[in-house]
This record gives sequence, structure tokens and C-alpha cells, in this order.
Amino acid sequence: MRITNNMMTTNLLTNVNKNLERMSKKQNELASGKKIHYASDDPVLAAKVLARRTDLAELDQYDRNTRDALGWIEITEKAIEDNGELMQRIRELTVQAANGTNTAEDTQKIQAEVMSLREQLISNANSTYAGRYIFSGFETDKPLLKPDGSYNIDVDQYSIDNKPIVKYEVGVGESINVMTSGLDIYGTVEEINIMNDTFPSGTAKGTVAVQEKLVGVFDFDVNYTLDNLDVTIAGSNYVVDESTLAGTSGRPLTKDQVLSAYSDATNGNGLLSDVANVYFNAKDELVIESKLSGQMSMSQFSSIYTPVSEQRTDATISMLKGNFDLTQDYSLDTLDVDFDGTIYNVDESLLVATVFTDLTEAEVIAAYENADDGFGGVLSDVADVYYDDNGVFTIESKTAGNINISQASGIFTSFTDIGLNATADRMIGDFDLEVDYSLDTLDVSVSGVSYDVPEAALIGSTLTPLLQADVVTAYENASDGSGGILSDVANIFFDATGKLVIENKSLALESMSQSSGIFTTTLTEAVVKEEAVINNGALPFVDPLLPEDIDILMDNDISIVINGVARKVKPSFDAVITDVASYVAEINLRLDDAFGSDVVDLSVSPPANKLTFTAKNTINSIEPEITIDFPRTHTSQLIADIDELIDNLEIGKHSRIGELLDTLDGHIGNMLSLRADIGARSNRMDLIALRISSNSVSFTSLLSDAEDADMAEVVMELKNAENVYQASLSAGARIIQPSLIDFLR
Amino acid sequence: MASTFFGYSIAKTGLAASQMMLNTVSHNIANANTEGYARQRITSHAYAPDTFPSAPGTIGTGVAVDNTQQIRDEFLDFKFRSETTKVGEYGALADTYRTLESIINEPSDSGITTVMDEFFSAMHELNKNPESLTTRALVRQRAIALTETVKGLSKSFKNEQVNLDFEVTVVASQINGYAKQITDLNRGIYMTELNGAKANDLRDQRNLVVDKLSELVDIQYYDDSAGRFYVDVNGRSLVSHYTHDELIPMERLTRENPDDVDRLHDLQWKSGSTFTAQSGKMKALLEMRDNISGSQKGLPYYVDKINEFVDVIATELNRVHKSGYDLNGDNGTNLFTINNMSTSDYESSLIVGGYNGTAAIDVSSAVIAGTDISLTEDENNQIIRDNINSILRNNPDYTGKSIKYLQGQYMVVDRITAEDISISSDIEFDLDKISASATAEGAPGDGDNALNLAQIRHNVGLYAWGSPDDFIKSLVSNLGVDAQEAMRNEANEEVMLSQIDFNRQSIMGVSLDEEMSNMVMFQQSYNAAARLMSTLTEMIDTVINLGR
Repeated sequence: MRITNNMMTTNLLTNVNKNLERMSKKQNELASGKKIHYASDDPVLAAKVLARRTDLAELDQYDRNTRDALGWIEITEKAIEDNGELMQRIRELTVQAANGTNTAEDTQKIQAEVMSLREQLISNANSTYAGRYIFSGFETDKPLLKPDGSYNIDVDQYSIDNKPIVKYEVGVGESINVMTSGLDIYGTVEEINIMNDTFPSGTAKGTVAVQEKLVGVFDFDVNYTLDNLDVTIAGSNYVVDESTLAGTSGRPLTKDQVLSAYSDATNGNGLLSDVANVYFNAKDELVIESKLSGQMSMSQFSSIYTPVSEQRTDATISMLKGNFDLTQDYSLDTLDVDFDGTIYNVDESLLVATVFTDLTEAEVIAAYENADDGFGGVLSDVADVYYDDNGVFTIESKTAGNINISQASGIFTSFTDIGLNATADRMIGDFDLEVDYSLDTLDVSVSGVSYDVPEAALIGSTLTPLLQADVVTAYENASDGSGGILSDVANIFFDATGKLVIENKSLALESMSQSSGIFTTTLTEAVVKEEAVINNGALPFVDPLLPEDIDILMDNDISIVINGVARKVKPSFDAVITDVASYVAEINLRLDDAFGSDVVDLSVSPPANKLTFTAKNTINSIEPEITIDFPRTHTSQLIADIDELIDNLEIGKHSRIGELLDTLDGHIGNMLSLRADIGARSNRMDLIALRISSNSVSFTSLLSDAEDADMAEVVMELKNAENVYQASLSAGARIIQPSLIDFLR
Repeated sequence: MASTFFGYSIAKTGLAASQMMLNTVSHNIANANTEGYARQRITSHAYAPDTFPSAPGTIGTGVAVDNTQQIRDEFLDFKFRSETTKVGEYGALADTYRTLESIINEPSDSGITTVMDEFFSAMHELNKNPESLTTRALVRQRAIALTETVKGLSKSFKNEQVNLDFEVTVVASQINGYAKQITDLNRGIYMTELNGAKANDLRDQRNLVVDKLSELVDIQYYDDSAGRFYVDVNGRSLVSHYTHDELIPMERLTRENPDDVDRLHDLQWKSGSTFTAQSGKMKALLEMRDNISGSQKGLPYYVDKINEFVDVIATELNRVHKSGYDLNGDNGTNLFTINNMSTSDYESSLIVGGYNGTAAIDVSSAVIAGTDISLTEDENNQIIRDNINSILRNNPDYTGKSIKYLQGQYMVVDRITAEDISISSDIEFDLDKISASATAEGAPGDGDNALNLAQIRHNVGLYAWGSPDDFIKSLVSNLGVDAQEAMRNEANEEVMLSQIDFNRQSIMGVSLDEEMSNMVMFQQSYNAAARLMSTLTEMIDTVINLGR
């Protein structure tokens, strides 16, 4: 190969460049310590690196969560442990005090100590972690107990049954509850209140009921005025006034028109809207939904196929064509035309051409048009006679189809041609053979003449479907009332796709319609949730209310939970309440405020002031559930028991003090079981923390494997690349320098 | 018997030929480093010999110089150019992918995955300290950081699209310029060669321009029998002897892809029809600028993917956030809207004009088809998500749209795009509005909803590609694979090209050694011819002196 100096220079440059590139890459790896900088360096590894980094970032978060959870649980554990010891001490003191040998001074000392222990119990209840009160449930911004030992937070049955759960996530999909409810430790005292005994309370759930509805597609482009859209519900027929429902494709019906026609349908006594909801659903189907629950027969007569009117262009027409010589004398000829078996007699005597005068085209046409069949009909009734664009004499059938037209004399060649204007109307639609049409109106109107289809014969069902032949026969025999039947003017058949076709025999574009244009209704069972009702109580006051009763009503919250949403209501402070009715009205206002209107309703029925709370079916997919409860007292059972102990110590009632020992033992047992629970959680947290740290180590090493450069290897490679680089430079210097020029002297 | 001075005449042709050859050597050396220069050689032959009646045989009459010939291999030129086209294409692809990779900036400590890590981390902190305003502020800032990051990505992508568009117009004008140069050179060459001479140096220049043109578009070129030169691009004539067509960038009136920047340019021939490229740099530029799908995914694909990512995660975060309760026990708002709108403004604007500026399309019934109260909430949510995905996939009108739950209905609306996303003004102005609590009475201590929000990152049903993390991972590795392929192709083609160029240079390059040895050779032959002259002179001298 011929090598030039430039080639060598280029080669050298390319190679030096490659070496530099390699060195730069290695140097980059060394400087950053990373194997990959762009995803394209190694797409698979890059994806792995991303995954590992996310894992690590998450582990980091889980680690922090675990440590926070541990902190919280430790504080809880400490407080409960402390409480346990305090209670133990109180128990010892109680045992001492129960001993009848104590002097009054001893008892007083014991009482003083119990009181200070009580202070400590209260202060433990208000322990905090990072500024949050750990025993106050979700009300973490409030201390659990007031200094007097009563609850500072909201206490009701709901908060007792639904213990607050603060979950910390400590692994993917793995969370742990860190919270212990203070109510569990300190207990609650039930309030004794005149309302508590008589006011309705408890939980009620809505039951499942079945309602029926009719659903169907309502075609807005159809004229329903000849139709029968009546709806039957539970045996009662509601007559729909179809006269307002004249839709056309140019001016379709509006939904409002349809809805009002149905809503105003009457059975003579009441409206359809009284017993059913009529609306368009999200799929734009018309729904008639019974308001009555339970399965009852609903039906709408019309349930038909929707015929679509269209123009057909595949119609054939028969024509007779020929060159009519205008210079001949036809008077002795026979020009009579055989049109589909009927002979039309042409008066040939009119067609006489002489040497001086030729026939005119008009004369010929007139002669043929007036050809009569002997029964009063003329040829122009059934055929058009004209000269076509090419001057050829034509007799064209007015009806589509293969019709034999012939003439004895040979001036015509008869053939069937597809006319240019061979369009005809037809209607086409799906005909459901499994439907009972006996109550329906299927009447067809062709060119303004209505043909009455004998629907009574068309009783189809899923088990005994109609035969296509029966349907065709019924339509064919549809009578116009004056002797004509539909098959005279139209062909009726099922096409290859199973659609019923009513095809106008006439070629003119004439109006065709079927009165039933209808929507297909299907009966569906809607599952609807009934209302949930609580009515097991009454207001225990006389009406009108006494001032002290009003005070009780004004002061007392009613705690209501509906579908998991808990609210408290009581009359607003400025409400004017004088009697039961005004109280109920005020509570209803507050209920609307709390839950929104139409969710829950309070009603009262005299004379016993029986109260009924009704949770309505607001959300279709949820069975309504209602719980009514009275507020609990804000007294802690534990503190109350200790207070009783202190009181008894005060008066030195040994027998009662002895009895209180059992109560104290109960509290101590409670503390122990809570401690066990917390301890178990604490252990679990320790294990999780351990797992996270070991995961973290292994993930870090995986990440490092994936993305960190192996320094030793990179240094070696860099050194190697450097050597190659130097070698290529020195080789280049040697080769390029000498050339012939150096030796030409 | 030949004339006395016949020898002079022979020697003179030798002198002249050697001189011309020396000049050509000189020309070669002078152009040793000229780009595109092909070395030249003088071809010569012996003059037709004379016959003499007085003597048998013929006698040579000297040397005749025929032509200055270029040493060049047309086939290698052809191979070189078709390879250049590929290098141009893959080079442009690789360049763009390099830019895309720098924009996405993954794997790194500052890419979108890190921002997401921080965002979800903030949600965990919120779960642990739902009442703390510090934590809430952190959540807000992380949410803003997320919006800013995707906004930055989207803007950079679109910026790159503008750059590519500019490059398209530049390359178009380059093509026009080259076409013009070729017609000029055609004129020079044709004129020069009318008398049968070879316009070697002009041809070199033209070959060089064709080389350069071949990098930009795929060209076919040929000479006709009359020596006219033609260049076609993808079957359309670019240069036809003295005339050439031009590419005109026309501003687009409608966007080709929903998220394109406005007023990109389509190329059109001045003579009318639209321009299409089969390969070359231009094709790569157009593909990278316009392709939203296909084998060579361009910028619109990545913009679309980022938008899909943003819309789905924002919609899901909004859904969960709305299902919670804020610090005051009120129902949640949206976490994200567009252009700093409030939740209510955003939703009503969507309903009125959220679908291409027209009212949103209600598809609730199709979306909830198949859900049932007997199933769990998670199962129903999954059915709804699947339905939404299939509705969006199966309806071509809904490409690049999103289905959102607005005021109780599922509606088809425009996506929340990466460019427009922002946190909702409700949350921007009131930290209390962040709904950490899952129940109304849970406030302030309940952080369950924050945990629900944090768990969204593990929801593998969210995207066709899995969870949000998986989505980014797939996007990055897809880009990596594409970029790697483009770079590998570029490197391969460059090797091929340099190999062909090596061969080409081997034929047409100037070798100084060769020229030097030729110089010595021609110098010697010149000297010899001169020497002959002087010998002849001596001979004649002798003859003349005979008569003395």
C-alpha cells in the first residue's frame, strides 16, 4: 500500500486522540471515584444504581422513623412503668391504712403521700415527646389531664372505641403503631344524666334493598308522536304524552323534553315522578328508576328495533330503448307494449309520417304515454316515456326491479339498465326476535299512508323467539285500512346481516317512517341502600320545656358518627329554645352544619317526644351507618378511685379503704398489661432497627459494587494508557520526522 | 537523412516535458496539505516516429505531453461519501443524546430521583409530626422543588428542541450554500473542459464540496455524457448542471406533537414539494426534533414521558391529598395545580376549558365500569386505573390527555404538564392546608394521610412502567440504551470512514518522498536533455569548423 506523510500524521493524530480519550475517561473515574457518569456508560448498571440509591434513601428514612418511634415508645414505656411503681406504692399505703391500728396522724401522713403520688400520676399523663403530648390521642397539642385530674381532651364513646393509631412506616408496607391511648391507662367514668337513660342511642346500619329500573337508549332523532311509550309500574299504567316528542334529525329532542314527558306521565291519580326517578345516566341512557323498593314488575311497551331510513342506490330499473324512425308511417304497425304482462295499446294511427311531414318526438311520446291497458290505466302510470340524452327513445319503468317490458315490433332493443336516478328509500334496523311486541306499535308509514302491522302475532321471548318469516309476514300483511297491504309498496326481508329491511318499491324519494323509533329498555335491579334509623328513645322532658331542662339540653353534646365521620352537635349558645320543636329544629341546623344537608335528620313525634335519627343514603356505594352516643364525663376512673381513697383516708373509713384495694389491683393489672404491650413493641422496634442497619450495610456495598470504580484497577489502566500514549507519541515522532528531504543535499 | 537540427528539436521536447513534470511535482508539493487535493501526474508518450527514405526503420522524434491527470479512485469517493452520510447521522444523534443525558442528569446526587427521595422523605416526616409547621414547611418546599425540577427538565428539553430546530435551518442553508458552490464549480469545469482539457483543481474543489454535502444529506450524483454534473437528494434534483434547488424553512402553523414548542420549521423545496431525508445529519436532526415514537425516539418522546410522569404522579398525589383532612379538620385540597392556581380555580377551569380549550369530556361510566362495592377500595382503585389507561390508550383523540376526578365525575382533560405544574395556591399560602390527617377529627395529631401519600411511591400500578421510581429508572435506562447505541454506531462508522479515507488518501494523497524522488528523477532527465543540447552544439561546432 502506498503510504503518504499526511496519512501517517492523520493516523498518529487519531491514535493519540484515542489514547487521550481513554486516559481522560480513566482520569475522570479516578477523580470522581465512580464507574458510570451517564446512563449510556452502562444502561443496566445505571438502572441498578438508581434503584440502590432509592433503596438507600428510603432505608435512611426508615432508620429515622424507627429511631423516632423508639423514642416515642421509650417515653411511653417510662411513663407507664413509673405509673406502675406509683400505684404499687399507693397500694402499699392503702394496705397500711386499711389496718385499723393506725393513728389519725399516721393516716394523715398516708393521705398526704397518696396526694403527692396522685400529682405524679397526673404529671405522667402529660408526658411529651418532642413537644407532643403522647397520651392525648390525636390531640397531641393538649395535655391529657387537667391539674385537677379531669380529662382535658375530648372524651366520647367514639374515641374510646376507635383508639388513635399513629403509624410510623419502618419498612416498605410495614408500619408500627407508636401510640398508646391515655384513656386506656386512666379510664373513664360514665356520666349519669337524665338524658342518658332516655335519649336514643346505639348503632344502626342501613339494610340492602332492591329497586328496579328500566334502562334504555333513547334516540333523540325520532318522531315518537305515533308511538306508545307508556310505562307500567307495579301494575299501574302511566300514560306518556308522546305528542310533544316529535324529534327529527334536524331538530332533535332535548333531554329536558324527554324527562318532562316521562315525569308528567300520569296514571290518572298520580305522576310517574311520584313513584320513579327519571334521568339520563352517565352513559346517556334513559333510566326510569322505581322509588319503591322491592321487586315489582316494570315495563315499557316499546322495545323495538330502530329503523334507519336511507337511500338505496343499488336499485335496478328496466328500460326499453330503441331508435324510433320519425319518417315512417306506423299506422299499419303494431306498437303495443307488454309491460310486466299487461298490454298497453298504442294508437298507431296517430303515428303517420308523410313525404312532406315527419313525426315529431312529442307526438311519439304522447302516443306511447296514452297507450291504455283497457282498464283505464295508461302507460305513463307505470313508465316514463322520453328521448334520452343521446336521442334514443326510452320507455323506463317507474318501479324498481326486474320488470319485463317488450314490444312486438323490432324497433326496440329491450334491456334492463341501472338508472342514474335509481335511488329509493328503505328502512333498516335490528329487529330483536326475542321480544314481546304485542303491546307495541310497529306501524309503518310509506308516502304518507300508514300501514297497521298486526303486532298481536309478534310475541317473542327468549325461549320461543319469533321466526324471521313470521315477522316478514306480519309486515307484509300490514294493512292501510283501505285494502292495500305493505307488500304492495315495499319489499320486506331480512338482509344478510340479520337486519330487517323495509324497502320502498317506488323509485321516488318518498317519506318512510316507522312510528316506533324507540329506545330499548332493559329491566335492571338496582341495589340501593336504605336509611339507617335510630329511634329507641325520647326526650324525657315535658313540652314546653322547663328552664332547667333547657339548660341540660343546651349543655349536652350529642355525639354522632355517620359512615365513620364523627361529629358532636349541641344547640349553639345563642339559640332560642323554648319547646321540643325548637330544640329539634336547632339540632337539625347543627347536623346540617356538621355533615352537610340531607345526610342525617332528626325528627320528633308527639306525644311522648319520641326522637328519630335518620341517616340517609347519601353515597350510593356505602350502606349508611349511624351511631349516637352521649359525651362521657371528663373524669378519669383512676384518678376518681384515688380521690375516693383520699376522701376515705380523710374520714378514716377503714372498711371502704380495704375494699378499694381490689380496685387498685385492677389498675395495677391494667398498667402491667399495657407495659407488656409497649415492651413487645419496643422489642420489635429494636429488631427492625437492627435489620435496617444491616440492610443499609449490604445495600451500600451493592451500590458501591455497581457504581464505584475499583481504584487499583483504574490506576493500573491509567498507567497502561499513559504508557501507550507515550509510546505512540515517540513512535510518531520517529516516523514523521525523516523524509527524503532530509537526505537530499 | 534527418536535418542537422533535428536533434535539437528532440532534446527540446525532453526539456519541456521534464520542466512540466517538475512543475507538476512542485504543484503537488505545494498542495500537499490542501484539503481534498488529489495528486496529479503528467502523462506523456513518444511522438510518432519519422521514417526516412534513405534508411530502413523509423526514428523517434521525442516526447509528447498528453495531459495532467488526477490520481483518484471514484469508487472510493463513493464509498467515502455514503459512509460520511452515516457518520453525519449518527454523530448528530449521539450529540443530541449526550445533551439529553446531561439534562436528565442521572445517575447523580442532584437528579430527579434525589428530589423524589427528598419529597417522599418529607412526607414521612409529616406522618411523624403532622402538627409541626416546620415539617409542613419542609413538605411544601420539597413539593416546590419537585415541581421546579420537572419544570427545569421540561424547559431544557424544549430548549434543546429549539436548538435542534435552529440547527435544522442552519444545515438547510449549508445545503443551499453547497448546492450553489457546486453550480459555480460546474460552470468553471464545464467551460474549462470544453476544449478537452481537464479542470483538475476545480474538480478537486467540487469533490470536496460533495464530500461535505454528503455529511448533511444522502445524495446521489453523476455526470452525464456531455460532462454535466448532477446531484440528487432522495430522488429529487438538488443540482442540475448550472441550476440548483433550494431548501426553505417554513414555520409550522400547527404543532406536530402536542407538547412541541411553537413555530418549528418544516423544510420545503423552493420548487414546491416537501423535503424528506433518508439519512445524514439532517435526518438525525429532524428525527430528534420531531419523533414522539418509533425506533429513534426524539425529544418529543422524552417531553411526553416527563409529562406523563408528572401528570400521573400529580393526579395520584392530589387524589390522596384530597381524601385527607387538613390541620383544621377541613377536607383536603389539591397538592398540585398548574400556574399557581387554587384548587377550585383549577378544577373549574378544567371543567370549562380543560380539553383543548373546550369543556372537559365526561367518561365516568366507562371509568367506573367493573367496579363493585363488594371489592376492596384498593381493588376498585386498580380497576379504575386500568380502565383509565385503556380509555386513554384506545382513543386516539385522547393521546396525551389525562382522566381526572373532578367534582364527582371522571373527565378527560389536558395533562398537568411538567412545564406548568406548580403547587396549589391553597397550600402555598396556608401550610395548615396540607392534609396529613386521614380523618376530620384526627387533626392535628393524625398523620395517616401523609403516610398514604408517602406510599404512592411504591404503587406499582401507577404507570405501565410500574411505580414512580420504576418509571424514572426505565426512562433513564431507555435513554441510556438509545444513547449508547447512537454512540457505538457513531464510533463504528467513524472507524469505517477513517479506513476508507485511509485507502483514499493512499491513492490520492501527496507523498513527499515520492515527489522528492520524482523531483530528482525529473531533474536528472532535464539535465540529461540539456546535456544532449550541449553535445549537439559541440557536434555542430565541429561541423562548422570543418569549413574553416
